[in-house]
Amino acid sequence: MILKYLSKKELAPVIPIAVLTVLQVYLDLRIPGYMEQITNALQMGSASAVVQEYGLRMLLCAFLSLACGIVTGYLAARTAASLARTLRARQFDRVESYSKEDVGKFSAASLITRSTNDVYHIQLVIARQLPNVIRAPVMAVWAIVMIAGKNWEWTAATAAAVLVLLAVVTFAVVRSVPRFRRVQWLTDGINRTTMGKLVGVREIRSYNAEGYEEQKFSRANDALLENSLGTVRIMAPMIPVVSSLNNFLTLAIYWIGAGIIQSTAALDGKMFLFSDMIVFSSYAMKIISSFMMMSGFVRSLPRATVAAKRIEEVISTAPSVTDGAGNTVGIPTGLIFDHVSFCYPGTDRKVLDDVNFRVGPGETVAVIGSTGSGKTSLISLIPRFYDVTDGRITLDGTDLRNYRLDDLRGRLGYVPQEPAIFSGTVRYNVNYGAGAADRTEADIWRALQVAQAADFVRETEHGLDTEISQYGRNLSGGQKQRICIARAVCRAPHLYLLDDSFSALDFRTDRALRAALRQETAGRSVLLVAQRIGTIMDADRIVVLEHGRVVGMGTHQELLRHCAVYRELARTQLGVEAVP
Amino acid sequence: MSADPYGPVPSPPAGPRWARRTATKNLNGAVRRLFRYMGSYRRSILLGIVFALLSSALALIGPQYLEQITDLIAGSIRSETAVDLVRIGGIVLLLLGLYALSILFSYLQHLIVPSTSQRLANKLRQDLSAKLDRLPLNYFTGANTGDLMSRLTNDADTIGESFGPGITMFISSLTMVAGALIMMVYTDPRMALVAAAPGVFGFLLIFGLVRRSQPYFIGQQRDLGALNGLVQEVYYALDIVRAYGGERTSKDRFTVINERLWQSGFRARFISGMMPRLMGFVNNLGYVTVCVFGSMMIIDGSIGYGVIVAFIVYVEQFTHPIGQIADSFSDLQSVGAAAERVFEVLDAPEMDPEPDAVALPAHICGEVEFRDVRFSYVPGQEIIHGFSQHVAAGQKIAIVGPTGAGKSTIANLLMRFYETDSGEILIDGIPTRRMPRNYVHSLFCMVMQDSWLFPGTIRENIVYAKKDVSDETVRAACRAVEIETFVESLPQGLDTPVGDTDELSAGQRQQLALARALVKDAPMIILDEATSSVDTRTEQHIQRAMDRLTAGRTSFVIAHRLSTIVNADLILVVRDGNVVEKGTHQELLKAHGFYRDLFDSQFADCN
Repeated sequence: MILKYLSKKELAPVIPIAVLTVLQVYLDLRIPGYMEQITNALQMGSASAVVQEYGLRMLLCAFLSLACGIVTGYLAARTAASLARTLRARQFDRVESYSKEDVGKFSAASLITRSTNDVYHIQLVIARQLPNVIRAPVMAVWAIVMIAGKNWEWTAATAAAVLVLLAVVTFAVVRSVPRFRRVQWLTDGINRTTMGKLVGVREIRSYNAEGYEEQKFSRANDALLENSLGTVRIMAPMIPVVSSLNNFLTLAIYWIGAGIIQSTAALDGKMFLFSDMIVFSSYAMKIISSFMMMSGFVRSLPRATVAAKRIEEVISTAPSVTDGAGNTVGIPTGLIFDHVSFCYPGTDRKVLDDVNFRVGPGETVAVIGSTGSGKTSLISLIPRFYDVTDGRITLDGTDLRNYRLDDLRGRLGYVPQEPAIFSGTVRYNVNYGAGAADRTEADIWRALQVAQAADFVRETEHGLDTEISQYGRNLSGGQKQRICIARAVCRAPHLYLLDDSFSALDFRTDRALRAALRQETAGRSVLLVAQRIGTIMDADRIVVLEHGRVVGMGTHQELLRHCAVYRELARTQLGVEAVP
Repeated sequence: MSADPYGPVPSPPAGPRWARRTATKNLNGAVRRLFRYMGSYRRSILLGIVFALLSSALALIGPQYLEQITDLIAGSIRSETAVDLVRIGGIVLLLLGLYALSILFSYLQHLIVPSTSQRLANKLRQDLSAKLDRLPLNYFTGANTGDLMSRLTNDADTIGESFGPGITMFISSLTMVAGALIMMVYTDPRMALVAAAPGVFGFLLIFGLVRRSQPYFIGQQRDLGALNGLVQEVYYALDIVRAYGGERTSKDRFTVINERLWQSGFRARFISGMMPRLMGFVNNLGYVTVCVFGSMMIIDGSIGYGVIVAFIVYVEQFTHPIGQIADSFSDLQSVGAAAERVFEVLDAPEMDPEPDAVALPAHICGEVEFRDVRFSYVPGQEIIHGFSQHVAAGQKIAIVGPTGAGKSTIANLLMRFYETDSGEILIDGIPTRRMPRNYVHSLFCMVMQDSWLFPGTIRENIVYAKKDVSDETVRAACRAVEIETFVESLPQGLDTPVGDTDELSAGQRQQLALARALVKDAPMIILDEATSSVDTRTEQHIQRAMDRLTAGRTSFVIAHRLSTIVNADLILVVRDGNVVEKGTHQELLKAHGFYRDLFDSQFADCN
């Protein structure tokens, strides 16, 4: 099971937990046992000495039972926490080593839940149920053994009560599970409608659709109510019946007891039976409560096994993109795409089809194309977020797959389409990743300067140590993008990969940045993906992609003359007047 | 790869119910307000409470009869007479009846109370939803959405799940404890003292435990939140983490939090595990004291055996509800906190009430006039300083400006999403302030960037709340925006469900939004030309559709295309929300001002 992830040392407490739990059961069951003795003594005659002695023993049992409970609670909590810690760390390590394909199999949101919520749930279940798992069956068996020697009528009554308990609980669980699932589904529906109202408030008002939306909402709301009421109706009898079982059982025991005592002739027989009767009801209570404990455990099991399975899946998935041998050639030929084709894993559709182009040392190459042309996929092949399906990509003479991943990525300065900001200081965000220790404050400021971000950072109170909140909420879109660009510049990489990185900037800033970048990257290679023709017009080479194929390559002027797709693109963006 | 648009995945709730401190500023006030709000549902809850009390009362009587039975049996053994089975049988039957009645009352309680609670939640949700329609637009800012969403869903749910049961359990537990105490004193005062002592001791212990444990739970909550935050951040930004070799830094950060969480989680769990164990101990202790002192009193001859039997039950009935009091009290605290948040929304100031009905013309030409309009989103920060402009019917006004310059402010004012601070906007000579808001809305077709489609069919989205729209009209609209062939290629055609998922591309969604506007067929248009990440062909469809839409109608267009700007009757240049320049294209170019600058940087390189 999932416990296998615990080390020997962490697993060790399970033995003392088991031992102490059994001991605790013994102690708990001893207390009514002493009472039986006392009752016998009382019937015989004066028994104050007995009462005192056994009274003290009972007290001792109670205290020792508590002590056992505290220790087992401590150990169980510790074990559960250790397991949780291990599971979290193992998952985190795994996910960090995943490729995009691996993450895609689960979805980022699911991975987050598995690393946090699911682990929490397992921790909860183990801490709560580990002692119970041992305690409930031991208590049930022991108590049954205690009463086995006594009258079968009482045993039968107890068995009947247990059966009723199991029947009621099973019935309630079976009937209610589908309903709960439906409640979840209906609640999701309401949440979606509510979210829609918040997001689409402008549309709703401008189309005077308030009434229409209200109707939809009422329907969903009322459906949820109907379902909830149905669940209440099913569950309503359960609690009263279960909690009254103890009462009925006690009553049955005393009624039966009366009858048995009546039919017994011997006086001391009667007396023993009387004490038996008093004690039997205590044992019967314990049996019922241990079955309730077990049903509680069984009810928590499905959710826990699901969580365990989900965690297991994450840990056991091996990453699909791994280090290469690491024997690099080092010929400065730049980046070469050599008959590269690419399909997303699991699909047949070629996102890139026989793409050939080159980014020589010191060159700026732009890739342009409309949505779905394969631009972003192209960029993600270079840091090996995915591997090519056909053909090969070489960097400075070596196939990308032969590089060690940290070596390859160390040469790249990647700026994604959507800015990614970490919570932390500006310093942390800009001077990020491997090699951070080797870079100086001056490097950071220089990078910010190039990215046109130095001004707004300087204006803040703490400069580089200004805290950026999660997802960069206290920054504008343009500021976030500039920080991401600064991050790349700070690395001084051999090859810049800029994926539509200027979209959030206004034209002025865009131009200034590109000018600064051109200076900074002189001598280094830049691969630039863009939508706006204005951004790429002065590239050394422009590659035009459509439906994954290269339909044109050349400078801006050349393409205007020879490439119909490019011309159309220009016309759309700049207007028919600008592009005759 | 971008962050989940619905916000971060919430942390799991930490700690047992009785230890979760949800800060209620005024629990009493919140619960009272809920009671007032409940209106007629109050009766049902009170009825439920009555049933709970009846059920408890019956359960409390039970041990008296058990005592009788025990004494009868013990007596017959002692006096060596026959057991009076008939009499005992009578008592057994009586008890059976009592227990059955108790079950009935308890069943009724468990039927009425949760049902009423759910109905309350239903009403709350309905009222909240209706309230949203009356709130001014600035309530719906981005920062608010997640919090607002939580109030409408989580908080309403909390109230529905826990209010009724919480109140009922709280009151009935209190009563049970009091009742058990009373019965104990009634049965035998000295024994009552002895039996209640462990319970009281236990209660004090738990009270102290809850107090002391707060910091541990806050700590665990904090660490869980930090872990969640880090994991989310890293997992959503994995591309960057990988591309920059940031795995180790992230792992280091992670390990620090993980270790802290191990500590706080272990401690919190240990403490929460203590409570049931303590309750068990108190129970045992109660049993022991009853048995020991009871036995000594039997030796004294002061009580019969039955008293012990009764007290064994009473001890249970006294100590068990104590735990329930703690649980239900914390439930009520959660409900109180949720209620406070919900009432905040219900109390929020609404938009100005609608004016008295004024004679509205049957047909609007589309003549618009701005008269010395002043406006500020934030009081004290005026962004529109006395803007005046006359727009003849059918004219095209282009609005340009740098990214995020507040170009939609004018649209907001026209639509009366926001009210002007002073000055007026007149349509066909009538001030818009004198028109009901939904009338103003009906005069404009508004298509902005990222238009919202709701979960429904294509047809529903295009028709959207307009009555009596024939399929032919819908198809004509699709044809006009050039999406008809696409729709017909779908297996379900117009009945294809769309919504917040991504079966449609951004461009197709915009086409549907344009079709919707065409169907609405209002006399004036407000349009944002920005097309986000759209392929060439679709872009052309959209541009032609936009041209069709604006033909012959007064149009306010946030312009992105050269042709729109050049051909506009008037250009409004917006900067930081304010109109800084206006004129035709040629006029503005000659002025060599801000417009010239903007124009050059955007379009210069193409000539």
